[in-house]
Amino acid sequence: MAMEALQAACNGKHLYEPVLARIVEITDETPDVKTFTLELECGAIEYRPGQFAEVSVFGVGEAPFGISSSPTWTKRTGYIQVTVRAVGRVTGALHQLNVGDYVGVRAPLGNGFPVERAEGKRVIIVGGGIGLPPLRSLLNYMLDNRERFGKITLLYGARTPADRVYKRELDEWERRDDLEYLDTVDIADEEWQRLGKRVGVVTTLFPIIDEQSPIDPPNTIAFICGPPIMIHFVIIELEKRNVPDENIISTLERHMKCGVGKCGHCAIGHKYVCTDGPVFSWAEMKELEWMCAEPTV
Amino acid sequence: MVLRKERLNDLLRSIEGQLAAPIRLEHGEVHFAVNPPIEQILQDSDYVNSTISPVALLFPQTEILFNFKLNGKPQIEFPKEPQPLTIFGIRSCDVAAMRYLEMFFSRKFVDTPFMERASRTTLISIACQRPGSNCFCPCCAGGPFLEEGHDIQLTDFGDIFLVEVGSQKGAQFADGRMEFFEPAPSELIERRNRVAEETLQKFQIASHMGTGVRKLTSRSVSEELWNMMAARCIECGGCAFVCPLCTCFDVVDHKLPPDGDGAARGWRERCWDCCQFAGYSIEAAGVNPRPNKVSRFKRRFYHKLSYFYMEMDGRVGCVGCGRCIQVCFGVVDMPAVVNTLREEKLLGVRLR
Amino acid sequence: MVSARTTCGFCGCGCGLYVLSDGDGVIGVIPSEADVVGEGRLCIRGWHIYQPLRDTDRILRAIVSLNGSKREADYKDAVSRAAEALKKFSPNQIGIIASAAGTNEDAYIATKFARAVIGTNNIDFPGRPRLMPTLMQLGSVDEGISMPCTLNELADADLLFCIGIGASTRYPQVTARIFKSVVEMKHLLLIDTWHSDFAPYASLHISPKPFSDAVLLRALAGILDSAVKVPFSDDEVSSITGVSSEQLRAMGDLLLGSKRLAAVYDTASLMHMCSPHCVRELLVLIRALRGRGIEWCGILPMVERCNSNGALRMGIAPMLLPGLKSITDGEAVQRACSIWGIDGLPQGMGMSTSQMLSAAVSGDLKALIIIGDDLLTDVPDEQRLRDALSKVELLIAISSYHSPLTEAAQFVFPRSIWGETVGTLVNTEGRMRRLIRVAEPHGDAMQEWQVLCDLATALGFKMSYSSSDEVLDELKRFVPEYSDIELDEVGKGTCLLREKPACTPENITHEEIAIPELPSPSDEFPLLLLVERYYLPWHADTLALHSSTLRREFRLRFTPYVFVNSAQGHSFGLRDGMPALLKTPQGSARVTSVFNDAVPAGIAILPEMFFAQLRQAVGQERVDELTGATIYPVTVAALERAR
Repeated sequence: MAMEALQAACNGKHLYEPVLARIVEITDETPDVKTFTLELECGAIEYRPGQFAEVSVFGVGEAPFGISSSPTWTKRTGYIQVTVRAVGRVTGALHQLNVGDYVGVRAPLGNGFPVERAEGKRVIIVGGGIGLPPLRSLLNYMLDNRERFGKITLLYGARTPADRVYKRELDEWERRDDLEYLDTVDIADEEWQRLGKRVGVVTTLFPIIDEQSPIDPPNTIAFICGPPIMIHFVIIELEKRNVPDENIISTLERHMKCGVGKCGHCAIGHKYVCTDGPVFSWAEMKELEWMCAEPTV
Repeated sequence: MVLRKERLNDLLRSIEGQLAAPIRLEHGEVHFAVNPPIEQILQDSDYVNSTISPVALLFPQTEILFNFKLNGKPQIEFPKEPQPLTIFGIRSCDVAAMRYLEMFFSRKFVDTPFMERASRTTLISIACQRPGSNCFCPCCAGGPFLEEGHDIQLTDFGDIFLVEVGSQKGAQFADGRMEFFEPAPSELIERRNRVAEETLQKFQIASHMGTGVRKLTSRSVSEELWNMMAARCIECGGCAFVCPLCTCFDVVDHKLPPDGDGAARGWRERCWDCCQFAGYSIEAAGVNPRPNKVSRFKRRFYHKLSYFYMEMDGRVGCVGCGRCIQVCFGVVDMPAVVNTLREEKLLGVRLR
Repeated sequence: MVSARTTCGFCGCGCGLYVLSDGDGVIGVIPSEADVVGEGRLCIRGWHIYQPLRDTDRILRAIVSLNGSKREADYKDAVSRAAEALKKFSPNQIGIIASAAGTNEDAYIATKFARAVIGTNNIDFPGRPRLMPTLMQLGSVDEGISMPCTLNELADADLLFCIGIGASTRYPQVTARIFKSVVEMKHLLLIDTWHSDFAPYASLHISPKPFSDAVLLRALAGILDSAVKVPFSDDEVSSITGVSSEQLRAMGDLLLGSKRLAAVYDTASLMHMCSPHCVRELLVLIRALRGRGIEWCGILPMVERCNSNGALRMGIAPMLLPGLKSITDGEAVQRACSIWGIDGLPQGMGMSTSQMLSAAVSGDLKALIIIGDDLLTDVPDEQRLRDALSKVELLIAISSYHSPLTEAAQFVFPRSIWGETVGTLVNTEGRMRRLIRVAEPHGDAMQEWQVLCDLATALGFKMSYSSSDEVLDELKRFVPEYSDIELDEVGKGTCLLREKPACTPENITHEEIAIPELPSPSDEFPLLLLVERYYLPWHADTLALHSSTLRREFRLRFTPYVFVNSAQGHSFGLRDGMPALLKTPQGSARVTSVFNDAVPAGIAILPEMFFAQLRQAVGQERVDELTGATIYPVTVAALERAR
């Protein structure tokens, strides 16, 4: 690279500089999950569903979170949202913050979902537990652009009813008639049973779809997010129904630090989850696993 | 062009900004120090290379990304713009590594701290005529003489240097200093080519990188061989820290207790990290995708030797500087591993 | 800027390195290629030794507890108050627990403080009992045996005889010599319960029954020299050690084939070479080999901390004076009185660490001065330690970091850390090493010896030195064998201490060999549960926890776990990392089951740091009369899934 070009590239923003963001709202989703609504100093940003943000608690550290708001919502409100489960130092510190506090944000990062590939197709979205946030971004974006997509089915499974995130939104989605909605929990509580709702792992929802809206393989694209074991079994169900490997879209998880393909932590083989992913098709995952002799999931 | 030796010190004094050059530390080790006393700078025949690569002047073991002050709305302050830097006496292997790092740190996203330094750094390298016992750069397109990629490459001919300009930066350096240079007679170029050939004969080790790449990429290395090699690794991180092409880093925040006005100061720094460390890939919830030593050991060599990385990077992940041989506790440095992959058995080791 | 060469402050290897700084502070390290110990290599800890200097969580000022509330205090004021508080007690009501991570100068001044200023022999450091088996035999080592030998003498040997050295990460510079030797086709004879990463490279790897080292070594010696009496039949040897006659003969053949033999063992291991008998039997074996034509042999006992050897040599022991002299050595006592300017030394052996803690709980010991931050990791019985700390009337801590120890103390003095501290160390080879200052001490942090001198002066015993060098000068006058120590030589790494200890094993008779009494596994309890001093991968000392990288690495191992090999674990219906119940005839404990295939079948290993679980499962430990070391009973055990 010519020296001038190098200097020009550097005279822009510092790669690791977070934009300041004020917390405008905190929603308790479950006992250990909160959604933060953030107002970025730079105003509304443009992003694709499935991209993520590196959020800083200054003095504690930085961690990546899938952006759970949809780009269309951000355009309307100027805010973005991230949904955070408290499992470590940074997430624990985030949970201690209040409305009005400041965090840092570097976004959007990652490749995002290949939304254009879903146009005109039957879309199946499968979420497990805390895997729902990026799918929420995707689903709300699709619902805001409804005419571009075929039938949309949402399958959502959680461990218990208390572990379900976006509870109010789930009810709204269930009521929509332009969305096929099925949900289940592994372990029900009294209220859930009283309502006669479904119990079982999320894969038990597939026979129901076979009944009420069978899958037509070439015209179907599926988006899956959730615990690795859930993804594994959902892929099996989709393969059983002949959905092509390149139409099965999921995300890979790795420890991330810089989010821009430099620090090396998220590398799987020669791919970096933060820049080549986190969204990968099943076909890509299989090929990568073969190439690098490392398990991807 | 030619530079007479007696004019070298004046040339070095003419350099603006910082000058890094090789000196000896207290017990004789070679190190690229910044702004050393000129009389301490080593002659080509007095050293092979430094313990830590001079690329560490641009990517140090620890550097502050930014400082912050927290009192309500955070205030972020970035470090001052780096000064121009000239590295004198750097070797071909490290020059080749520098070119790789510039590619890596500006690929897709531009790493500001590194590239701000790199864009202001000029390399005046001295081609090696006396390789060290650990050197194997010819196996890795890393030297001993570079045909491309250098800014200014010197060949030490005793009382004169042959000066070869290889880049725009080198040309800019030379342009402002033409009073130090004379035209080079053509037989000097021939002599340089002869010396380059002769030097190739002086290397004591060979590392058959191509075979290593092929065996590793085609996954034709037995699990037993991987296990036996990994058994000798103690995951010290030394190989990554001395390797001029390794770039992994960790990012850590520090915070001081609030001072009198209630403001807490702190900073975000990055420091060298290594894929061999058990905690390197551990996720927040405690899951570790590389939970055992052999998976991490394989990872290192995949990154260095796989064809897929080579395609992406434009070169194999090694310049043959030999530093990993010095730091390794278990004799599982690059040539040891590559040659083990090639021979498909553990060399010279009696197994039960 | 690059510093002068200094020494890593973690383990007993003591590797040479330089520290790199920029305008703001320390930013990294450079391993010293010329260093005779490290040869340009550093382990993960050495590469990160500079990081604690960048950590902000430090004790910066003296802290005084007044009327139940703690506040930062002026240093001088705190010193005079602490001295006043100390004056209330008689000498033997006061105890000092010093550190193996300080300098020689720190340790020497601590000894002087105890004996000359306070007038007590109640001074010790927690790791000392583990050094006693070696110390007790050191006096009887023949001229022809090099003990301790050096790391490079290991590299020159043609047979490395390693006993209980554990994981390859434990003493990295020993590992380097071992692997370089095996790659050169030299022999490794490994006796270790662990099927460590050394095992596949050993010409012979023997995994004997627990605590049978002494019997095994005596039996070997008997094979090599018919004059050596083996008070067991061949069958008895096999049944006690689990090693067959064929294996014994193979070991003998391997040993006989060598011309230059180096033996290495870990003084801190709880499973191997734990008793003075073991070390004595090793010497018996070596003597037998010399009779059979071996040209050279050396023995290298590995010590855990950067200054375990130094602390011992400076007299941090209830029965020792500096130079490994006994408190009953008339000549040494006379010299002490003359150099320290006192009339006499306290009589009678003082209390060990363990005894001091018990005495604090019972009320016999009323004041404790605790130096350094590693008491909590070195004394695994956290409950007894907390009891002692809370019950003792006066607790003075010289510490770098906040901890339950400093919480309990009435007076806390800020201690400088590695990089701020100047002085000398003694590494595992007995080599003196230099520590130089690479950063100005943070806040009011002082070196251990400086705080003790100030306390002494406030107590009316004037003690003041302008530098660590001056303390070293006095030490050189105190110990004749140290009189020709030159700091330049120390800096170059050529100063090896080879003084002979006065300590002789009084009550070990030549014939006595302890036979381990092991319980027999059954169907209900198919495992033997052993306790070992195993952390990740060296030991989680406090300094390491203040390095951001090392803290991340150690984070992996703080919940109580037990090691078992994967086949064994699966047989209990467990998976790696699963919560389990460790059941024994004594009780049970909740642990995580961690699969480690270095553990042989039939054995589970519980790291010593999980003391609560240890007590629950294993029961009451005892203290060895001879060495003062803690002995954990061996029990049978089983594992099952926890609900």
